[in-house]
Amino acid sequence: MSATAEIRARVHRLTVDDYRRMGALGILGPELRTELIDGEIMEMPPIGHPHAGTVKFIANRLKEAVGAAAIVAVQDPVWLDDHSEPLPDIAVLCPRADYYRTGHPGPADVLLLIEVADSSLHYDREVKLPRYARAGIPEVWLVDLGGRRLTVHRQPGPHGYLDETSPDNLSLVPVPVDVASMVDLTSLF
Amino acid sequence: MNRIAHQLARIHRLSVADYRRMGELGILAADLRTELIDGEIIELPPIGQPYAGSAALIADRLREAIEQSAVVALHEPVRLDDHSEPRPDITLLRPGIDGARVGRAEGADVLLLIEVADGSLRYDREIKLPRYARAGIPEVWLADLGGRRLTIHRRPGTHGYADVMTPSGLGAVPLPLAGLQTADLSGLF
Repeated sequence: MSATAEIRARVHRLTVDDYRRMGALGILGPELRTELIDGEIMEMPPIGHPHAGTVKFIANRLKEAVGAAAIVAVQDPVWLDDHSEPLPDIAVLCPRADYYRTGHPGPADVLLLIEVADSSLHYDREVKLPRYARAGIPEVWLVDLGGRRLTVHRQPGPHGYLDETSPDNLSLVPVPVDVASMVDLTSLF
Repeated sequence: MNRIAHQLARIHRLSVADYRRMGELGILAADLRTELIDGEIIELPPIGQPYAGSAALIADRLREAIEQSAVVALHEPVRLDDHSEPRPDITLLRPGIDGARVGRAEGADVLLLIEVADGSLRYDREIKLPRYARAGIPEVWLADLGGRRLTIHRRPGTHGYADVMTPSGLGAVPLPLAGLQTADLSGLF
């Protein structure tokens, strides 16, 4: 094994509980945007305006489309398992009376996750997508800003999503909530 | 996480202060042996044989050789910089260092540092040695149990140790002390 591979094999993996304690105790400062992936703390890059604007656009259009059928969250923690708690750009969650005040949502609460990717496309595809699939997140949308392409990933399996499609018509993209909904994402790109 | 993932994202580097607090707060269990390398927490393998015996033998032989000229510490951490606090196997620390400081030694306290490599030779040589050199640790010995070889590394620089040599015998290995003492490491391998 190479030296680098040896280090990777021996890196101490924090649990989501450890990570939250570090946040609560100020070891991870509030100004830091981080996520926990496989027990390692990853720093999120600063958010550029094309990215931020696109997230607002999608989140607001989604909320109009789903109404009370789901809760739409933006860049909030969603825990996947004992060692991972990422910050997906948008999470469409099962409705809950307390709006998740008492605990961050987990895989069973998630209807759809959306990642908007500018420079992070490779990372979202290679690192986040497979982990979302392994955690059983039912559907993920990847918005590739650079390539101007939306891909929809369904049927999570242990090795990734089995089904990947690109909607032909951005004005009528099906949203996986109880009451069949469509969201109009015309002018997404 | 695999190597590709690491190249794509920025790992949050913990400081030595963060790392020590995690230990104090029990986020890192007291019985977990770890070291901090470049801000990442690395788990150390459990101390097994022949590794444990070799480290203890070297420490004993050093103590016999030096009497009061220095302090011999076994498996104690050494702080190299803000983000690294490895746990070398044996350190020879400057005399006069008090007991509390032995567990919190800084690079400047170290006269000689010894790593016993039992399967971890690549990690010690490629990850730890360059960092010891960059921190200015004046002399490092690498005891390669598998290859049955002791190498001595001197003259630290930014790219590593300029002098590497193998002593001709193990019976009288010179120590970097004013009294020119030697250590008898016969039977080490």
